[in-house]
Amino acid sequence: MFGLINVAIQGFVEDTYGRPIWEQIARAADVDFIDFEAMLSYEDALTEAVLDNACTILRKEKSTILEDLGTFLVTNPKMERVRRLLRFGGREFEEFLMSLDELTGRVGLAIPDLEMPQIDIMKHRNGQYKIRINCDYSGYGAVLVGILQAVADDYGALVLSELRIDPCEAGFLEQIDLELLETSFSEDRGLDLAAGLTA
Amino acid sequence: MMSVSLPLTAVSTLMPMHAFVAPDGLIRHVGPTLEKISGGAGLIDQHFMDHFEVVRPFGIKNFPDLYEHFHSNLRVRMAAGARENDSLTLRGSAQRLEGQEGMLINLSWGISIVEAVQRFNLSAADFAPADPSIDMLYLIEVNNAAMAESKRLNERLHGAKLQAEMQALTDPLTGLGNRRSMDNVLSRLVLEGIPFGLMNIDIDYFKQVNDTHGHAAGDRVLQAASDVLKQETRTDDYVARIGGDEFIVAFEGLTEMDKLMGIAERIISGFERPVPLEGATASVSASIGITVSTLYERPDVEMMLDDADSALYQSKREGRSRATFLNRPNLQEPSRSTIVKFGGARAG
Repeated sequence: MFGLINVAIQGFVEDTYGRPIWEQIARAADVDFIDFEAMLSYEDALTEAVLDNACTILRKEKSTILEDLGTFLVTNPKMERVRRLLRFGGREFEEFLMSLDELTGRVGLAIPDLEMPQIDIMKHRNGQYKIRINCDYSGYGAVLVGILQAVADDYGALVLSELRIDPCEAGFLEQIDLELLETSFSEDRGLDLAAGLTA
Repeated sequence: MMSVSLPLTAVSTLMPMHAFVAPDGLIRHVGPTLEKISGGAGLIDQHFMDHFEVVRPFGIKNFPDLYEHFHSNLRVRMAAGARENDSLTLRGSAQRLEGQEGMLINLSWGISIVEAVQRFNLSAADFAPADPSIDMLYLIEVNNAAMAESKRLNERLHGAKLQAEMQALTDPLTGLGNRRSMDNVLSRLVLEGIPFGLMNIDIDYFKQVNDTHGHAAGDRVLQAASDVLKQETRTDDYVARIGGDEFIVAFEGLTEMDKLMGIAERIISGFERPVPLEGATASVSASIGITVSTLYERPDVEMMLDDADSALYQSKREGRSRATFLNRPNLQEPSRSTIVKFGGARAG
């Protein structure tokens, strides 16, 4: 797993539950260091061990932790960059939603090492959206649910979403049913293009 | 030839940075983004050439030139003073209209994109939907973030490396250099042809201190000795601890016997000052051997170290607490031609 993902998990745990809890999880997961490096790659098993131990130590379901991680990625001021990059997907929430199938390609263009599963989106006649993720590792769906809720909020939209995970040939098929209840429920936080152009 | 006609609103959506310019050079219509960057003054009925200087093609000085010799590839500079003092260069193309007089000029930011976004506070709505500029901005932003992250990692790794190097060149007990760092210094002096004096110092009676008072006392004595060495040498001199109780000092640019022997004498008396220990004092002295690079036709680090060592052992043999200054290089038997000078008052 690329370091960025592990750094995000670490940042989320530290920010939400405190540094001592993170150190406890890292020790329990047999990570022989405390801090992940964003630009290095790590064994997938290490990430799974960290998440499993986080579940045990925090006494939470994995899906809950991952969904909270997704929300953290968009809403935490330290993660402003992630929010900004997601907001590049569209000027309005619906445009953003319809660009989700470009997200993996977009990320791949920028960070080839960061492997992400392909995301597909469909709009049904009843106004509902279906988002499908095919991956060999279950968990992306839960993170995406957290992300979508938070991004909707960022655009000022109100959504309702539900995650279903089914085993399939490729590993897992994760499916999110999303209903866009209102497009301007609250104020849109907007995207200042110039803010990210200086390092 | 087939031609299409579009309402101006559609042209504005497709090309938010277009301008319709009449044959007389007056701007008749502009897209919303071009309007936005003109700074509120408005471009309508203004002369195109007053606001844009044509850089490519060459030699276009007035609008009729552009109108007559229009070119598909255009590079224009937004005239100085239009907004800020420094101008931006835009890319674009100019085409003559069909069925009516005038020219359609469409512009894009090209590589001025980053500056333009910052200067004019552009948002996604200011770009045409087909314009990949937004994706470019996205890439620039990710690239900045990744570069910053890589730089941070590199700096941290570099810091760790420097620390490791520092540790590898420093004697942790005394903070002086070690054998390796002394070798580096001596090689540099030889390579650069800088004359220097080399002093080899051994603590006399150190073993007794260790045996009688223990290793902690021995460490105390070593620290006291290194304090004396630091005090009696100049900042340009390099001091290293190269073994248990052995030190080397390189005196850059200092080869006079009188001065070096004076320093040796002060070092010996410094070493002879009793070192307070818990419930006791340690009493040591020093034997010193000195050689200077000017003795050698072609100074050689190994040879000089050997000679300083021989001179040191000469001091030991003569009864310790003294310094021996070598006056001929590479001697198997230094006793035959060395100048021996007694250091402190302590009798061997």
